[in-house]
Amino acid sequence: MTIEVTVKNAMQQVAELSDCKLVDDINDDTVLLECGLDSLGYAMLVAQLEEELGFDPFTEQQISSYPNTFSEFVAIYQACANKH
Amino acid sequence: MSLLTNLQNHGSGVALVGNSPTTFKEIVEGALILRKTHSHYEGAAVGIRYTNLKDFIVALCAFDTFCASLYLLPENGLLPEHAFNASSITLWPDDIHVDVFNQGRDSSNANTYWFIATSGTTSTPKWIEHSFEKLIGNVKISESMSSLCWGLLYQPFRFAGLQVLLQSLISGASLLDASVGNVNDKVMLLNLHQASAVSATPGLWRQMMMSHDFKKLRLSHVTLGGEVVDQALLNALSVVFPNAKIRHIYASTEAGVGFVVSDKKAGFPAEWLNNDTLSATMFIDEQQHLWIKSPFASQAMCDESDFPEYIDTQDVVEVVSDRVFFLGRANGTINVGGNKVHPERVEQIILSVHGVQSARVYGRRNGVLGQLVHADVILNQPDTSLQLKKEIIENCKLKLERYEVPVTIKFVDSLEVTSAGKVKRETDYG
Repeated sequence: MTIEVTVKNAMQQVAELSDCKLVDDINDDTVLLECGLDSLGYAMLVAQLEEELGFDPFTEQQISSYPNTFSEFVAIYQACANKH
Repeated sequence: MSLLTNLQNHGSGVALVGNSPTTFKEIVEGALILRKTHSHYEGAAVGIRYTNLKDFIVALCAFDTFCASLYLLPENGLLPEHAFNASSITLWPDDIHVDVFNQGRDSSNANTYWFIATSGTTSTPKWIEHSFEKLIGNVKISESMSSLCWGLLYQPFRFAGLQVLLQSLISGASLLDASVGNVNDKVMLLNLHQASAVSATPGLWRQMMMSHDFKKLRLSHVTLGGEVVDQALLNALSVVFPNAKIRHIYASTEAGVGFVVSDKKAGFPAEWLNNDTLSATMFIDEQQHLWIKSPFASQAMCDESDFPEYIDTQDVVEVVSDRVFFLGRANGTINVGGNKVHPERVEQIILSVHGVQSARVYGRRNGVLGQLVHADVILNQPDTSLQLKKEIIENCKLKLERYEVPVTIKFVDSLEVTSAGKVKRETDYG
């Protein structure tokens, strides 16, 4: 499963668990804060991805900028996965 | 000097920007009218219920040095059960009296006692007493500070929000209410009104950085507090605001403002420990708790302490070479983006589900909100259907705030117990 699919699946799970509703079409340019997840939803997404992938790039890396779009979010996970 | 007198010095300067811009003069006039219309509040115990920022500030100005004590009520309206030298608390703006237990005591303070509730929306708040002088003890006043526009992101009736509010008002700066709305709304508002100074929790800073318009902000003062600050966040903020003063404030409702770290590094210098030349003196005890003696601490808290004048912050720290780092809370309290979660309370909710034998709730490090709540659960009988897991989550959702609901429920065979036979409750400091 690609990182992108893993992230999308995890988003779906977290949305259900956290009573959030995701927007219909999430693509590369979708703005993260407009995806339908709130701050707790994102925190849960990061925790869920840590369970599945074994890492949390936001605590492991000295990232210099936070993601704005879905593709930027996936890219951060991809970069961390490559290192692992 | 009272809050009112402080504001009288700022003449017709702009105190509030945003939907209803207000000058310091208008606030002072409003406060003087309020004193006349509410003359029966003189010497009374008054609880201020927050409705909007302007009215809240007018009430603070009116009632400081006018009432005997001032209670800043939290959003759930919880009142204290007792008051000092008063058998009732008068609620403003409702103007109704609520009977409370009168806890008499000697009072030499001619000024008003301010009471602020500790956070924790579902548990009973603790009311912490402060004098106005101590509350404003850390306020910086200068010409450059007076030209700032502070974006208020915290609730103003909590300690952190009150600090931002008082810094802005006393220094003659202007204040923008950005405490409501979602993260995008907040960033948009800060941009629209050209906020130059913002104080927020690390969790909120991380979320704001995910907003497209965040990089358009022109901040000269970036302040962090309320949670452990990590180096990754400090680095990221330094990239966006290379010329800004980036400060991490270590403060709590109980200890007041302890110290300020401004070298853009996580933790604080180890040379600050056991150093009585500093305004706040600190030491680490055998359990790795940080103790602090701050001139701005609540006197009542210091009086309760084992070490005269020192407060046990309950923060567990470790020294790594020349730096002191925060590891977490000694009592296991979990900090989810600045919201305190008491694990015992969550455990009780889980234990109330039929089929659960025991539970352990703990915090784990999270890159977005600092920490999240997790639970390990032992069942009476193995369950593979996941039905019980859903039932536990549903029960938690029903009775707890969202941030208190465990994000993972793990079924385990055993839980580690302490020598006293209690479930071991150590936070994973990551």
